[in-house]
Amino acid sequence: MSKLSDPTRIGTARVGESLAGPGAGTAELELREVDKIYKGRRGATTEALRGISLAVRAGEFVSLVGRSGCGKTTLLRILGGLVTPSSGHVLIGGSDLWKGSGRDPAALEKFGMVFQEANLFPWFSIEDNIALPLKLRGVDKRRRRERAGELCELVGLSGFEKAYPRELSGGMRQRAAIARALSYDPSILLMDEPFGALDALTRDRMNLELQRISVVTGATVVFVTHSITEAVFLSDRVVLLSPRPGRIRSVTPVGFPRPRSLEVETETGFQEVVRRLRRELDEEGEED
Amino acid sequence: MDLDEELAGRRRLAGEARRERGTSDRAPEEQGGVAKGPQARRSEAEAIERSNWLPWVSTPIVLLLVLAVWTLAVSVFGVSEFILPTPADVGEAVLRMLADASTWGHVAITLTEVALGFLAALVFGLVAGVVLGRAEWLERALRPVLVAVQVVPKVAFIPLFVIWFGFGVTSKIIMAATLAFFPIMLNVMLGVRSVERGHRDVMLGLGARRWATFRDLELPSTLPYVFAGMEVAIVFAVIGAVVGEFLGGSEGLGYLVVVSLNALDAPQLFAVILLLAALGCLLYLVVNGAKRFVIPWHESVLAADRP
Repeated sequence: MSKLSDPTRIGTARVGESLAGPGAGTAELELREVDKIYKGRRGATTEALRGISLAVRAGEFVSLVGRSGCGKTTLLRILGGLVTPSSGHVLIGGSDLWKGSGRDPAALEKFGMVFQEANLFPWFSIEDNIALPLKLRGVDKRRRRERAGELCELVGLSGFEKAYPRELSGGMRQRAAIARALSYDPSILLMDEPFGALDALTRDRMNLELQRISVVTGATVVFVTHSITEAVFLSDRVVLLSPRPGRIRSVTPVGFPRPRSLEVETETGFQEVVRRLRRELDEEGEED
Repeated sequence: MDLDEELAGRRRLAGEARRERGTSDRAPEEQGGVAKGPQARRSEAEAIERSNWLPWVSTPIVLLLVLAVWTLAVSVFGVSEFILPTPADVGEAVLRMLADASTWGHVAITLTEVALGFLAALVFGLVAGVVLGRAEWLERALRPVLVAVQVVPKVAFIPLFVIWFGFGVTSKIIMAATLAFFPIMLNVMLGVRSVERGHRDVMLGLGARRWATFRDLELPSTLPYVFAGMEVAIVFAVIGAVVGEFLGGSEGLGYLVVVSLNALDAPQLFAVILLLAALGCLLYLVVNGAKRFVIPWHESVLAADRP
């Protein structure tokens, strides 16, 4: 899957460099000079994001890391069309996501979103939750059931099709949420700290699972996390954001081919990338 | 037995015990077990079943105790029968009333008043609740008025309703509706506003249309609030109808209460109260049953199954 098959190619690229990186012309997902300013009460404004430009190739796994409040969630929500950028462009497959005041439905169909919380609907069974996007697209009931069954198998929830979300553990719910996002074969997965609430062991397993799914489906993934190790483990590139206003500080390619096993975390090259990113993040802290 | 062998045996036992405990208190997921999940759920269901018979045993016992104390109190302390009749007298009065066709006429009248008043409250409460829940500015504009109307003891309006709508069933229906309206409206208003943000994000991210968002998100997440309001409202509707019958008119169980009082017929008074209790329970069970049928997934339904 990875285009960066040479494990020795590890290094920090600056913003301009990354834009001109491989395949920038055929970007699946692109932000051009995106700003986001929130208007508060009495004319007070908060600059959440400034001048964000980022291109993500088809099939690439990109993580957004940074301290809390650096705007990584906002950035993801802008990519997914949940938040309008104050200025700049969001391009999906080369065409604008926003057409006037509405979003391009064709572009929306490419997205699968997973949030910090599973956000399953308690009134639907796991099966109906997973197939909800298909229901909204008018797929008939029999086909939906079939697809839900397949996806339950993919994420390891077979046997729980008829259960209600409350009967499942946190990890299982999050897997159901991933299955829901995958139900209509999105080419782009947007994930906002999907495993943040899970314990370390479950989290490791979910990361392996996610990696497997992303490789199997060939989806482009943008993944928000505050764990640097997680980001480096999963990603082709790690984007470090700095806060107030949120800007891209650095883009770091990770040169190990995907899929990776958990052992990769013990390799010197891997630890080197993690250490460098952590140092950069610490420097952020001193600026505060 | 060789010491080493015994130690190994003990260790094995301990390990088994630990494993057994592990399967029971760990989440189904960590049992490595897609296969074990449904099994765990089944054992949970059995536990619920086992504890379900408790109220069926305890309730008759409590009732028998109350009857015993009551009988004893009457016979030992020699309480006047005008004040506290014996359970036997009351039972007799109940049977006499049940055999009397006119009683059923009164029951039907009260039931009609409660049902119509409740339905009217449901319709108006839903509409007002949705409108006020959606248009926050309107709610803020009307809040002082709403609070004022709410704190007024609404039974004080009954004489007014009698003047306006006469001594017939209409004034009682309106009274029942007035009392039942507020709990429904307030709950619906809250429900409309309580749609979870995360759930909205899901629908928004999927580009769901207006109608689909209502059908799959807003309606189901508001329904528990509607039913919470309805459960309070049905009780209030009974109060409204009965109090209405106290103050004016010549029909209904409330009227029978007044008649029994005027005749100083304590056993019959008790009997009417028992009929009213039965009616109230029945209506509540109807609403509660509807809730269990419509929102079986909700905590209030699931929790009630786990006493």
